[in-house]
Amino acid sequence: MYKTRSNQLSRLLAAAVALAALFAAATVAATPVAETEAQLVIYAYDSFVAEWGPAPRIIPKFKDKYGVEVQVVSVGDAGQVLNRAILEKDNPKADIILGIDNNMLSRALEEDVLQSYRSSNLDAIPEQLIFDSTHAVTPFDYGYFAFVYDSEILENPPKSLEELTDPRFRKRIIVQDPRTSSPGLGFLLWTIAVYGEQYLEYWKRLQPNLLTITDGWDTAYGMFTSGEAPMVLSYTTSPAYHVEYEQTERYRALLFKEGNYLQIEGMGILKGAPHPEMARKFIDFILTEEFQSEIPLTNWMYPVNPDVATPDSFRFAPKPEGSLQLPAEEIRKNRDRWINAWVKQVSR
Amino acid sequence: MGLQIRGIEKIYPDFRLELDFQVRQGELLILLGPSGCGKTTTLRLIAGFIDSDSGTLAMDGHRIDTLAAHRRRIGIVFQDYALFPHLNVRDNIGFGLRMQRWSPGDSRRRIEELLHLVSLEGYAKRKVTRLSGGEQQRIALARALAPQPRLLLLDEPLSALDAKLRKGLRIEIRRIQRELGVTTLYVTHDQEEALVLGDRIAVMREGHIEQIDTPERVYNRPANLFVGTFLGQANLLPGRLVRRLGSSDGQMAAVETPVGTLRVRWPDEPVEAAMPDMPAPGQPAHSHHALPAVGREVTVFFRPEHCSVDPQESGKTCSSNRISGRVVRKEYLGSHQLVEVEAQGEHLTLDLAQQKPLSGDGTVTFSVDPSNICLFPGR
Amino acid sequence: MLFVLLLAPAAFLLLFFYFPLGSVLVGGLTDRSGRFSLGIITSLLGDPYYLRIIGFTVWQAILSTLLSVLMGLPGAYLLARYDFRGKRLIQALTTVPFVLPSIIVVLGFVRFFGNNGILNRFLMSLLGLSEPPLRILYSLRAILLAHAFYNFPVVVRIVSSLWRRIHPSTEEAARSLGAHGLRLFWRVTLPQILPALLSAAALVFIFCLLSFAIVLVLGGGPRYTTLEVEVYRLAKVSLDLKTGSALALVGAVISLLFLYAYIKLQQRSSFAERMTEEVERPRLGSMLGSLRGVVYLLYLLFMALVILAPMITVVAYSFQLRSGWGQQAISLEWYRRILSGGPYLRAVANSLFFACMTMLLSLPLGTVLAYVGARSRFAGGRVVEAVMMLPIGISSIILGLGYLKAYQQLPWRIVGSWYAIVFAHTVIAYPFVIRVASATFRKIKSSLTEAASSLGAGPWRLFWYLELPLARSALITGAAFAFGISVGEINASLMLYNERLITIPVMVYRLIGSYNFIGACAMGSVLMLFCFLAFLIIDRAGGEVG
Repeated sequence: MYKTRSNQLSRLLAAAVALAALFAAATVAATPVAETEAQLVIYAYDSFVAEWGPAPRIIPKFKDKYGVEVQVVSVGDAGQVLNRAILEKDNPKADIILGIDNNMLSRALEEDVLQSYRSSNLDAIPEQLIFDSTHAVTPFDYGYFAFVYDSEILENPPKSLEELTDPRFRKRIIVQDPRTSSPGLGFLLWTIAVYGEQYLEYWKRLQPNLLTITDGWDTAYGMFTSGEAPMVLSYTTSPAYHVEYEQTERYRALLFKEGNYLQIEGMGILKGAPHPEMARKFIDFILTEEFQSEIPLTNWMYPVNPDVATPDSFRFAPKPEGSLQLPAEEIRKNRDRWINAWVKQVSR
Repeated sequence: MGLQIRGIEKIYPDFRLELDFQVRQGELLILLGPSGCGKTTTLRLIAGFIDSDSGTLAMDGHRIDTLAAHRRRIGIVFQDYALFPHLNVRDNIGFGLRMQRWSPGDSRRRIEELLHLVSLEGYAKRKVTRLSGGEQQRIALARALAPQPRLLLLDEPLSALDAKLRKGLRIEIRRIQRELGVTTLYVTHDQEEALVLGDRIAVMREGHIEQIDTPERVYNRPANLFVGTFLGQANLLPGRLVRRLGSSDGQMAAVETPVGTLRVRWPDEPVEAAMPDMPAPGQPAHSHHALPAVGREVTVFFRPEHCSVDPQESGKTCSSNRISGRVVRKEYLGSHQLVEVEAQGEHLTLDLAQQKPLSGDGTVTFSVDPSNICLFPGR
Repeated sequence: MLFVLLLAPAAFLLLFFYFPLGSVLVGGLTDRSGRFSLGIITSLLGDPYYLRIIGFTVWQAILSTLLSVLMGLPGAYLLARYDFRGKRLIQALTTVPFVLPSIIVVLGFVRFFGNNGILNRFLMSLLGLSEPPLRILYSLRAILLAHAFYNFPVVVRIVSSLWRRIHPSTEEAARSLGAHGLRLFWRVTLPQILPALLSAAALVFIFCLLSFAIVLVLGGGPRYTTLEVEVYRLAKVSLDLKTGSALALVGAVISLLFLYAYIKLQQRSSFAERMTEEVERPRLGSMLGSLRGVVYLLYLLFMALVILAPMITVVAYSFQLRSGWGQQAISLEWYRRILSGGPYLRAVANSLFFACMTMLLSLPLGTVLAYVGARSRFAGGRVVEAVMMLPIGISSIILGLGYLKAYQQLPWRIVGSWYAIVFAHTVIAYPFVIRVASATFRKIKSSLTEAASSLGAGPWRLFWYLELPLARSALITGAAFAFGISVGEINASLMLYNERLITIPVMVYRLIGSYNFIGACAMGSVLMLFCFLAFLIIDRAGGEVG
């Protein structure tokens, strides 16, 4: 009835929209869909599931070996994996959750979402890496938190936790929030492991040197590589990535006099898992060389299986002499108190 | 049968609307009054945009106050034209036809008819936003008339236009209304429009109708002071009725005023029969027919144009009602002149038809025909 | 009739908004044994830690709003008084940041304004400094600036829409009486644009109140925690749903209050717009000769640059490839990767699909609700309208959580399906449709509806033949907003996606998480392109934001 020019335009728009929708729908429909019932469901953190992460290389191996459909669901970061498990406590949709580390263990056990299973393959794993004596969580890789610095900017990096507080590093350090980031939590525990209850004084001295406290590792590391600050809290293995894929040795990890804090990652079978048999088989699988050999270059951590060699670039991922760790029970008892006090201190 | 408005009441916190009148079939009734008197409210009530608190509305014998606005089949022309900006001229006019589900062929024919009626043939495809004010108003009229409404309401349709356009358009409106014979209620505050267009005029004040009558009678025989002073200009004098006289031409009265004793002829025209239009409450019927009692205080009322300076020219023997005064001011208006006269402390205005050389000493004597004087109770 | 219209939208909202929302928020309203109790909320309000957070949230929102308004007024003036080429383009561009996922905004901001950002590096090389001169980030300053930059286009749009319609005759009259300059503005212009100004301020306030990523990243740490950030921590990370919900409830109540204020002001502003007509405006180009013209131009360029700079940085960065020895080379590598299929293309296709579906759903939903709201006459109608816009005041994290929690017991799978994402996006987007649609419905002169009514149009036909066509431009705007919001939505999507249903923002998030910043920028650029196109279309089709 009314054929104004803008009316014609909106018709065009509608047509374009419809076309786009059709195209998109077709693409979505065309991509292979694993709607068939999965025989094993794993919740993992994002970088594990990403196409450059471990999952695309490891999962097919398991599939071929046992001829089963495996569905790996990425849920966010490790903390959210646990949260999802807790959320679904009464009606678990997954069999395995992946990413529970030694700092989160206490919470996982408290929430009682996992069932115990001791794989026979654990015999090959060094004792100190088996961080859960109840075997609700089975370790699969480990790493050390470390400060990574840009050697092109920083000529005289610190050699100890204490030296971090030196005024020459004013506003040159990026760390993460322990409430939202596992390296952040790791660092907090690191300072507690070294300074005990005096950790708050340490943080008071450290604070002027902090450029910012980010919520997650990715933001922090992104700022670091953008050059916002020459030092960031990360892992000893981070430099290896840059060597391997960017052929640069400018980023280096620092080993501190007091030692570096150890992080061991593990996975566990959920209570009430729909496919417990297959889940146990998977737990066995992760300790084998097939699985462990993929870890270094996809997850950027050390394999727990000592028989697996690390690639050449891992030369730049130094292993510290002193590895620090707080006992799980102590973490469980004091974690909230420590964090709350830290928040208060840092919010001033 | 027309539109019957019976016992309609609408109560607002500071205002009360009370209506009881009718618009006769095929007539153009003007609703005239100052702003705030409730004429637009009346229109909206009839249209169905507001509900009354009591009373009934009937059109051609059928009650319409129970109907929703969109079922009343009333055409409305708004002050701001209210043409639909997203539709062209043809679709605007055809909107009502569309609502009534006319066939495309019939619609087209009807639209052409109306475009012809408002003298805008060939405008069908135009965008309404590009039209001039006058053109828009005519389209608005065409749109209202297209679905053959049984009542046409116009809410100050010409007030947004300039004077010249107004004069031209009002003739158009009158012509169209006569041609179609549609019952019409026309709201305005412009007296000239009212006098020119109306078959009858209803003068409104503060929510009720003061007088409803032909333009001639409303002008010459106003029901009360308000009507008299609202329309046209008036001369007012305080007075006291001292004597009643009979005469061959009807009743006469003598009224004592500061400028002298004046004779007033009281008309005894028959009252309008048929459907009496009930006057406003609180006022006795045919008040202008009842002569006040002797000794009563009255206000004397006569129009400036009823004053004649040269008795011979007026063609009437007017030995009575001679008033003398001092000329205070003169306004020359081309075809006539207004002369302000001061007499015994009262200021009166004369409207003299042609240039009259006034006496050199600045005084003037004029007279008023007794039949042109009205009396109102009180001062 | 209004009631009937409400049925379908109400049912949808009940199922896909209130139910999941309730399942999460109920945690904040019950005590340990599950009975209704305000205990958590009262203890929250008594805890100095949370009070500080709430206080800081409100405080920074107030400051940000003031800054946005100050920055926006000149822009509104320019847009109202002058026409210039490329106006539409600039308007479209400056609206894009509004719908971008926070991570990209932040990425761009850091890359441009950071200590090693482009701005500082430029200044350092220009002025020969060794230390970056502008230490903007990681402070309250950064938060305020970022808020102002991303919200002041809202102020410009809303205020200029009304200002445009104010007849210059009032100002001319005042001038002839001796008023000029600031006095003129203060006494004559300001009172007239006040409804629009206040309504824009209310809206900007809500956005700043609930701002999340900007505060999280640019603030620099726990000292600058706002409500949303804390809710994020509590809900997403520590899964303390009780405190998290209680806090979210407090935030929702505050935003409801301001939503109500906004609606009332918008009513007044729309009414004022109704009364006036459009006026002819001179071209800015013609003013270039004068000093004023130059100043105006500079202002425009400056503003556009500052808003666009972070985005441009992101786009520029994506045309790279980190090759051997840490050197960067210009390359379309990532775009090749995206277009060659695989998960990147799937993310793009998914995002498009979800956005279209969201548009198709939220448009009728928002339009109907806006219509009912604008036409309802009963007392408390404004309150209902404010409640209808509630999703603006609810963190999308909470919404995502709600979906997870509420639907897990149901026999049929909702989470993990594409419609869960579409519904979540729809819920988040429809208030924006309401916002533009209801402003437009209110602007329709009552004489138009009365005329149509007298010509025989009953309530349904009034809506269909008159009011809907008249609101067309607003609907297009609303559709574009819905599209943009869906394309850029991250928080709820992160909770509800799986490999098959991955979207661009999620992909960006993942890329960042694995050192792939170039890739993240590339995907982000694709996203920006879509948003920009969507908004360009609005301005083309003559849409307005009111």
